[in-house]
Amino acid sequence: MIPPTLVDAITYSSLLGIMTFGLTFVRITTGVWNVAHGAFVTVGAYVVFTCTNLIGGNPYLYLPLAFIMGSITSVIEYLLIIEPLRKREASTTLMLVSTISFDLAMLSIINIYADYLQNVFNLPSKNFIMKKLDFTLFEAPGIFWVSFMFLIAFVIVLYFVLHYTKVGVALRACVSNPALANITGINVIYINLLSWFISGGLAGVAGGLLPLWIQGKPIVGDSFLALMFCVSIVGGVEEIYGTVLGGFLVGFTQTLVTLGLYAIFGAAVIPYKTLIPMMILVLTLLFAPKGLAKINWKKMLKIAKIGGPSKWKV
Amino acid sequence: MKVLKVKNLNSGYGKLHVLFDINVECGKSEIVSILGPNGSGKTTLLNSIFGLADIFSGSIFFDGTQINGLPPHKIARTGLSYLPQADKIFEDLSVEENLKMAGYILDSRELKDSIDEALSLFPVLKNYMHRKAGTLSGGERQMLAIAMTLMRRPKLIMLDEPLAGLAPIICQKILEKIIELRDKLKIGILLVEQNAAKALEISDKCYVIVSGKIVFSGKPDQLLERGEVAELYLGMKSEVQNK
Repeated sequence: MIPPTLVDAITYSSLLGIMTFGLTFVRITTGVWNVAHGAFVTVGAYVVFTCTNLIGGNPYLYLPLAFIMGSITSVIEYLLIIEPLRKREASTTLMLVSTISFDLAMLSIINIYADYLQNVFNLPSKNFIMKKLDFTLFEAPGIFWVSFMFLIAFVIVLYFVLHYTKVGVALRACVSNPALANITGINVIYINLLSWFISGGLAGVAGGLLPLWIQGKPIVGDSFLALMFCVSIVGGVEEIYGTVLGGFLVGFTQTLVTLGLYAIFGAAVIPYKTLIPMMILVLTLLFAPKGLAKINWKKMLKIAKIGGPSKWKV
Repeated sequence: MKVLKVKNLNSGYGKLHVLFDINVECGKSEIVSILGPNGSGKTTLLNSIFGLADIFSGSIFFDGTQINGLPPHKIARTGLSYLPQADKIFEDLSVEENLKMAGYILDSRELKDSIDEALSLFPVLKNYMHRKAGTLSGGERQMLAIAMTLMRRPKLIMLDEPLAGLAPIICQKILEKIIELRDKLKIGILLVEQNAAKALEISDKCYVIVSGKIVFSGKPDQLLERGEVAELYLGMKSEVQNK
């Protein structure tokens, strides 16, 4: 049997990694910190909730739809706000502020939709959880297996797409040097659109998985926003794969440290558990300002092996 | 026949008017230099042709088609290539990936042939195909950048200061390659260069731009004969006297 704490930590970390990936991805491709990223997560959660309740069946069946709806929302934001602002050469700060507006608009739309579900279909749409619909495998919940396997599969697929397909290499080219990509015949807008599509879709999938693990509500995505920023910065904002590292560091530390503190101080520490990732963020910015992915691990190991012992011998 | 014709071009960035009534032409198998002091608008001219600056009035024809108003990625499909002054390679990609991206619009067969042709012109790159382009030396980067501009088999390439920051021996090699492109591949070359003496050595025609206006157009010999232009705007006093 897998220890419940480990199940919790891995599930939490995997979900964080999946939902944050898009935030880092669009930050790299278009330079935008998208505050509305949390809304895509919420959209995914409501797609799975609605379909499971109105159509029936297993919630996992509706993840592709959650991906599509998250992607569509993301593409709408890009076309409606980001691209027009980019054409006007707006600053990244202005774009960030504009994404807050989109997030607020989405929050209103989702609340209206939740009210509609509640009034018309009598569904508990403002507070729902679907743990009962999940399966169990080796005494661990399905969400644990699915989220972890999804993250691993996604990283492998992403690696192959980015390195061995024409569009994938073009995506990396746009990240490396967008101006040059444009003059070599790559349609940068199309590539940017693709990156927003993927990022919204992944957030949608993460959102679709969330109600199987925690309570879903109209602000479920936004409640993870600070954590997502933390994971992205800790992993390294210039490095796509850093998000996975960041997700696991933040997820594991938060779960394990909270548990440790709970054992010592009791339940009073639980409301303060979000301080842990913020402390990790501060420490990372102090000691590895470019994030985990940019740390020269070879050099670190060399220092640990050679530098350390010789100093102590003296 | 002139492949590139720029007629009465007025352009700049936003509200900033940089170029005034510019007329420039470049033909096949011809090297045309654009010279002038810093900040005169040479790079803006290339940016305007490639759709990277705002065009206020005038027209740009390439191979008989008007290209002003087209986005850069569409201009790249017309047979015109541009080597910018800075950030001319994808540093995070391998040399092979750089070449592939430069030939993004080609199908797989054309792409393979183009890579072979580019490598035959710059054989040194064969040794670094799987190396990250950002780790190449200055000269190797420049060769890769020029190879990239050739990937789409252009009719005309625009080079913005291809000799900047390179050692004299590498400069000479690059100049030889530029001549080779004109003579062997019959490509037209629009060359912006700070090193006026070097540019004039290989040019068939030249333009001098000062404060966004053309103050001279003609053959390099004619420019050198007009010592005041060469001396005032290009700092070529000694070269003129030497000639």
